[in-house]
Amino acid sequence: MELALALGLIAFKVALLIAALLLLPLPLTWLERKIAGRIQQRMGPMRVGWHGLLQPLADGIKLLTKEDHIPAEADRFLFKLAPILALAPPFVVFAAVPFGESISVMGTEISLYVANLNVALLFILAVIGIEVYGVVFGGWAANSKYALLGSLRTCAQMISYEIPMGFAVIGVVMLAQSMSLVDIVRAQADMWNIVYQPVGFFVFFVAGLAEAQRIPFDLAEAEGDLGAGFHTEYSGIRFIFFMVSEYVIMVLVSVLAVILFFGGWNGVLIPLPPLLWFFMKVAFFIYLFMWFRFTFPRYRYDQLMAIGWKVLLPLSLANIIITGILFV
Amino acid sequence: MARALEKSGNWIGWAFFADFGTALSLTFGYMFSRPVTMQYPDKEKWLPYSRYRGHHFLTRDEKGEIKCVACELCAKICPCDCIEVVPYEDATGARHPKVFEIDTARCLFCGLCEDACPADAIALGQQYEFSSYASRDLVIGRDELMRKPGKAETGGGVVGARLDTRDAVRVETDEPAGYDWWRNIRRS
Amino acid sequence: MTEMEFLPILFMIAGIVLVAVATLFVSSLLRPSNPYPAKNMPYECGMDPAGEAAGGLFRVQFFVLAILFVVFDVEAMFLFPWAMVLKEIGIVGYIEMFVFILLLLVGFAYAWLKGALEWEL
Repeated sequence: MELALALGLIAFKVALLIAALLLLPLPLTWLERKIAGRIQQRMGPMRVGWHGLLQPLADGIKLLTKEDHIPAEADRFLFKLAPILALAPPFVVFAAVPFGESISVMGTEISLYVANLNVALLFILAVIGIEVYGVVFGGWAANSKYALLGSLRTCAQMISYEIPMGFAVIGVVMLAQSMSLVDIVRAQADMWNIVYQPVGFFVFFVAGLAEAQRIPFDLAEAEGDLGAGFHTEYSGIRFIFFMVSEYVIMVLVSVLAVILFFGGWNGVLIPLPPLLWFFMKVAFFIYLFMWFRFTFPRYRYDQLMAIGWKVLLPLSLANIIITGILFV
Repeated sequence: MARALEKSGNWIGWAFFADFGTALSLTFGYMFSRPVTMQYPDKEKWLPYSRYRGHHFLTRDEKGEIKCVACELCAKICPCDCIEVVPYEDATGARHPKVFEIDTARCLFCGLCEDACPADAIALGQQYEFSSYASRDLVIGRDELMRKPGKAETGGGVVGARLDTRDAVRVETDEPAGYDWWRNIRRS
Repeated sequence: MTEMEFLPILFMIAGIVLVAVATLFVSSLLRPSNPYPAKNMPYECGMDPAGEAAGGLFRVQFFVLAILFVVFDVEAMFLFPWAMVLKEIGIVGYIEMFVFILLLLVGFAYAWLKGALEWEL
């Protein structure tokens, strides 16, 4: 009986998380277009619903009913597999992300995470690496030159920035002496990690921008010069999968930045509910992503590689060595 | 010394991404500036200046008769051959057009017909909304041309408007003079 | 209890794959299907595509990069457990890892000086 209850609770949490993450891109695309509009002195979507609030829904329905186009010379199996491979990892990763300690509902304590893994950080970095397969398969299987070029560039970019990202969080692991995200947040109860690890945060954030393929590192899409990068040949519902995955990764990087460096659900000064603190911080980071997008131009590809390998990698290694010597 | 200070200041700024900060603060400022979007056709509409060359109209004299003398000079000068005039003589022997058709699908709104007209009978007004689903609807006849609104004295502003799609797509407005829309544009 | 810890992950994978397949199914009921040869050609800005795109012809730099990635990713794998127990193993463990990082840095410097990280456009 107890086991069934526990399983039911897990299934319920998983269903809730998937629903929330699937629906999240709707308000986020609206917000992004609104912010883009305001920054460029426009208004953004205005016509569908109040201030264009229903615009993402209209777009979604449109894409859902679009013809699914598969190029004649494509590898059909990989072409169909790639969107699911791109969609799944960011969702699976969220199973290991805690949103708070626990809340009590009707006398029972319910933890605000699906799974508290003791290797959560490693798990996240490993699973998010699978995302690359979706990109590579998608670009290669389409048998189109734009898609192939885009996928190669994206792949090289993602694996290049995965290394500084992994190194940047090692300082945090040292301070918390744990890879569990819950423990890492608990360790920041007195002082946020950003105070001890400013360089680590900088490297993590820049690498996160690149991993999420946001401007100034959105070479994957590069609307101007590669068509649309690796998903040039995708249409309709499979295109939605790539887009949703991109937005979920953006949210993931924001959440990780908050958990690892900004104290998670620990508040300062104002006593607010921990969950509210957490979401406020995440919202700030999401806004930062969008703000960056409409402020900066795109880097050139060789500059992108130079930043990853010649700046971030030495910087993150130096950060590990210095943090280590101070810590021992 | 001052130069060295300035130089080191530049380096410190470089290390802390000072120019990134400048860019971000600029865009943040723009985020709270007034949008310059004109919400046409839902809420606002642009009234052109009176020098604007829009839809043609035929004028009348004091007695309400058509001014046009059907000399066909406008048809001759028209660079795209879109005016067709068929004259007739009335009881007093004055020439008037029996048929006066302008194919607005071909017209390029150069205004040469207005310049050529010896009787000041044809002119280009400020109306610019006359799109259609069929190109034959764009051939405008004599009577309709006489009904078209003439030139307004005012113009160059934005007025409130609303979109009417009940029987045809129309943008309605009832305000004669608009506000100066250019004040929305931020200059910095 | 390790199995119980990873059970939710399995639930999550099953859930998201299920949702993806269900969405594809719903979409397949709604969408039109009208393929013809011109539509099925790869997009190349209106030109007829020439040659095979997925023939395996790409720049060798991508390959070099992949090798470098493997080296440093393995290093990251070693660093994680080391960082967790650094307090207990103390200065000896630190020096050991320092030597390890140094050895890798020599390789990295070699690759840098050889120009493996240069991208001429």
